[in-house]
Amino acid sequence: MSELRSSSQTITPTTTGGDPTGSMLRTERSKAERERSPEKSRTRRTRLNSNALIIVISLAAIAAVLWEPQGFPSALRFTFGEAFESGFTNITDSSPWLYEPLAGFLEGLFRVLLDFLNSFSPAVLAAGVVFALAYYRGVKLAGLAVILVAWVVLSGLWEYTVETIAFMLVAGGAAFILGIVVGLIGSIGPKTNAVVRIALDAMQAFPAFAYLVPVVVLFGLGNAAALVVTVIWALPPLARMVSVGLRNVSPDTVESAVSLGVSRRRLLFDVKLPMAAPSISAGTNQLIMYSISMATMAAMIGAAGLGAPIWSGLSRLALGDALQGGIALVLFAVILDRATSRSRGRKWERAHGDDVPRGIWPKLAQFARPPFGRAHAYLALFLLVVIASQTIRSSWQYFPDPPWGAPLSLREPVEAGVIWITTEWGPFLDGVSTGIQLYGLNFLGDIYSGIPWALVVATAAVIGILTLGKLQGLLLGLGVLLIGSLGMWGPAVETMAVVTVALGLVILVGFPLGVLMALNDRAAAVLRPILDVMQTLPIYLLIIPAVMLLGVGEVGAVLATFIAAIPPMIRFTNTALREVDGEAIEAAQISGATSGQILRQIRVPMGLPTIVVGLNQALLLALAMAVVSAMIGAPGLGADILTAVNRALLGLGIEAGLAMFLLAVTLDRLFSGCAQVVASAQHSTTNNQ
Amino acid sequence: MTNNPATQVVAETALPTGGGSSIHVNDLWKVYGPHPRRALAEYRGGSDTVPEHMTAVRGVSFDVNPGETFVVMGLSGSGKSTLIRCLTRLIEPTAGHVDIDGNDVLTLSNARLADQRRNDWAMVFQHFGLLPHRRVLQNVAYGLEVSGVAQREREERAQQMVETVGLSGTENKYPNELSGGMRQRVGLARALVQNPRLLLLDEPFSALDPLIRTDLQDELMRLARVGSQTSIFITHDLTEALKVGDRIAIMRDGVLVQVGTPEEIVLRPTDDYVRRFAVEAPRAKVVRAETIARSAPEFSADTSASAVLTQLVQSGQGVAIARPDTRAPYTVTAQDLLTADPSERELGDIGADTATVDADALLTDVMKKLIETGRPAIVTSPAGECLGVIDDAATVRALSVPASGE
Repeated sequence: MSELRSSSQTITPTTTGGDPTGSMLRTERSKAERERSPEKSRTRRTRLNSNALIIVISLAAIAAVLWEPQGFPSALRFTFGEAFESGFTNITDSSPWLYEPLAGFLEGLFRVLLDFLNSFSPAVLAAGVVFALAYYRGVKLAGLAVILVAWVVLSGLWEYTVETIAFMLVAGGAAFILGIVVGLIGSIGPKTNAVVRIALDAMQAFPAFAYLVPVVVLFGLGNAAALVVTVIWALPPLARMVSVGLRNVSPDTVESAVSLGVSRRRLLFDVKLPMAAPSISAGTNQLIMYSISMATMAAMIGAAGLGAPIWSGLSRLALGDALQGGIALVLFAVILDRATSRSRGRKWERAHGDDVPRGIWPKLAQFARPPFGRAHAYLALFLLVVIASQTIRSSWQYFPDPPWGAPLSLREPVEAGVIWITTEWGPFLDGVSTGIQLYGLNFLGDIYSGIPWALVVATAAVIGILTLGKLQGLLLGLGVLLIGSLGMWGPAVETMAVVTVALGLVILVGFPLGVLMALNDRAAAVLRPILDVMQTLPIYLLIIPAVMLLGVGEVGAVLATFIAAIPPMIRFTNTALREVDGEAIEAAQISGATSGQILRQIRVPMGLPTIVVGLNQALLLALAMAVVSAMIGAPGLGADILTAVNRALLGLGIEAGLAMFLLAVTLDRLFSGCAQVVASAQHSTTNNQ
Repeated sequence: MTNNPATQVVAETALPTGGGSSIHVNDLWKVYGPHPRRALAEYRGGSDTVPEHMTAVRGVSFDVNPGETFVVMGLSGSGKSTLIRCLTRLIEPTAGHVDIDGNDVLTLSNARLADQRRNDWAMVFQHFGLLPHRRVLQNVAYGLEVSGVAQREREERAQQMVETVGLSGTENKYPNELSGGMRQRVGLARALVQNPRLLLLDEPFSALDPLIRTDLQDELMRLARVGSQTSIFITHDLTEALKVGDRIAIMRDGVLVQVGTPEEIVLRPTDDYVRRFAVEAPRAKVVRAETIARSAPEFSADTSASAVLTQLVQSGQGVAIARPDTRAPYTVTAQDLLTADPSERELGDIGADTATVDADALLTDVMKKLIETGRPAIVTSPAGECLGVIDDAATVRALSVPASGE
């Protein structure tokens, strides 16, 4: 043995240099990095150029500050809103045939479905839903549905719930068909994909709230407008997932099918669509969650359904009513989410997979034969309910009204609760409220409005040039400039103050909670379902607790924004810290590192890129919520949009909406640009050399 | 592949000199499931499976001597990675005793455990476990940083170790910029810079290409020979196990099936499971000369050729050893005697150039000598005593794999 050892005393650094795993390394690099690499070489070639560009921008900024130090110069304003409004009304006035049939069709479809659903006895409808859920999605979810039915009946919200179901069926169905079609178009080739992607990006980045204005102008208040808005809002996630799913089908499989001589149509239906099924079903789940969120918000423009009592409760500050509807809606959303998420469906397929016969008649035949299982029990129970509801034609035949007549009302207890909170916790809450107002909003507001506009534009452009390249940087600067040109500089600054304060709180509270969740399994088990529900909720509902605690106003809006934006921060921090390479942690453990050292030196630095992604998500959610919370008195762009919706001011709405869109897009791009630099500075020396 | 003398000098001074750990492991168990202790009682009571539970390590006992390289070999899922982690409590074992240098590891307080980990133990991982946000030098120095070594000293030591493993010039790169082989050199450097008494290697070379793997195996064996630490090496590759291991333990389903030297594993597998690996083993690199040496009749140099020939024919042997007074003994074959000039009446006149090999020489080396000299070789013990001869037939027999069930 020893002889063998002595015969091989060589260090071979040179041979490892040509290690073939190097090529693996290259393919492992993230896509983003690969996309950036040609750009990088270009910036090296033209470094002088971009430096010169930065100097020019800085000089221009100084000049602009000297020219008009305070406020956005009116010389740069252009009246886009008015022009748009007149153009839009021109078209709508001259060609009503473009949209009136659509409105009529949607409204009619909704009515037909609603009448159909109402033709059943409520007991039969409820029992049908509950037993179907029990059979296909498990007893737990059916139990949740029973709670929902009980709550809805006790609260006297039955009719609203049926309206919501009908509304969701129409909006969801239309969005599903359109989403699949758009997704298919996007999957045809790189060019169509680029077009579709840009369109979808724009649709999603444009604030949902701002859709309401032009649609109301076109269709007037009512269900047709609400349906159109919901379809537009819910379509992008599905279209995106369909297109991604279809393009990600393994090329090997496609090639093998093509080599068998399969036609294009069969290729799509037999190979591509089935293989994209997981991503399509994930997209469908998203679609449904988006539509219920928008359906609630559309109550503002007269949509029927559970949103209506919530909206009227909020606008009358009858928090009890809003809460009552809110609870029903939360249950509804959670049930829909669970029922349409794929993992549960799989479990059922696996359990029943093998011996399920094909075709309707063989299935029925098998169903009629023993052994009898759960399906038969549920069917029997369902029939029992049907018979009972027909024979006992007393108070329970029609049960949207609770048995004792008057529906349960949360109004008084909630008002008592709010009074109790304000008396017991008043000083504390007042302290928090004044703290946020004085040291957060006012302070930041002063600073923000003190910064000359030209400096902001120049900073955005320079950061953009440094992190994303020249073209994108210039576009970002232009985007910020346009916000001012639209006359929205002041409101945008106010919105930014709210968003910044909320984000600061999100980091202060969310990061520690994420760490706690990552380190402590018990804390994770408690927090995870709460986060799940919070993320299922239409963000609109989060206003209710904010108002209950801090009342109407700017500070309440900060709280609502904070609540809406915190889940991704907690969730991403948790994932980031948990998914750190196990061997790196073991290596630190075997070196004797304490768990505190492992957290600080290994988990946090290695998880940082993921945490930053979470923060970016929080930022986008905060922007969305900052608009919605205009309803409880947040100043800024949201307030303008709200005014526009209420008074059907198309020009103002479109200007504020566009400004919000520009704000969201520029912030998102700047943020991800900085995040990329942070991430790549960690992993390569090329930036430092 | 040139040997840079300067590097070699640095290498010798930078390596640990603290001596190796001795390890005693007795009846070690790791049970996974909702009630591991209750399940353990059932397993010990003799049941093979307990519902909802599984064992990764089932009552394993073994000893490792100071300075030894002890290899644990098994297929994936055999529990070898769990076993190595139980020794340092990266995974808490369910029951058993682990004694390292007289410390009962399983009852060490957290502070003592951290102390041991900082000073005496180190580990190398299959996927390297490097910190992507730190440069090579900081990765190597990480253990020292945790132990509270001052920055200047730890960077000096890390620098030396980086040179020792042949990574000079990469100190300021990030792990992502290195190839797999170089990354694992960083892993090795990080482990060795702490001067550990015990080095644990969890499939360190499995993720590497064959050629790089060979390089690093050689490198590791060089470092292990110069330093004096004890190594426990996990692998699923028998060839690698035979190459680096002083002793090998074969693990299957959480149990050690056989523990022995590479030669024992290959030549005397205890059951069919081990035999299936042994069949594939490169025997020429495992079997030692002593094992296949056969005794041969010895004659003094003045014995007559015809007398020797007669005795060889009678005993059915083909080789005799001649012991001349003046020079080293040499081998004489029957063929030599038959073709010899009839005038040479005594053995001493035939005189041939015979190779002598050590008892521990591997069969590959013996074969080389046989080919060079064209006649049987003599095997001698370290004391110089003659242990027997090896001829072509013996080597062929040693190389041929016995049919299973033999």
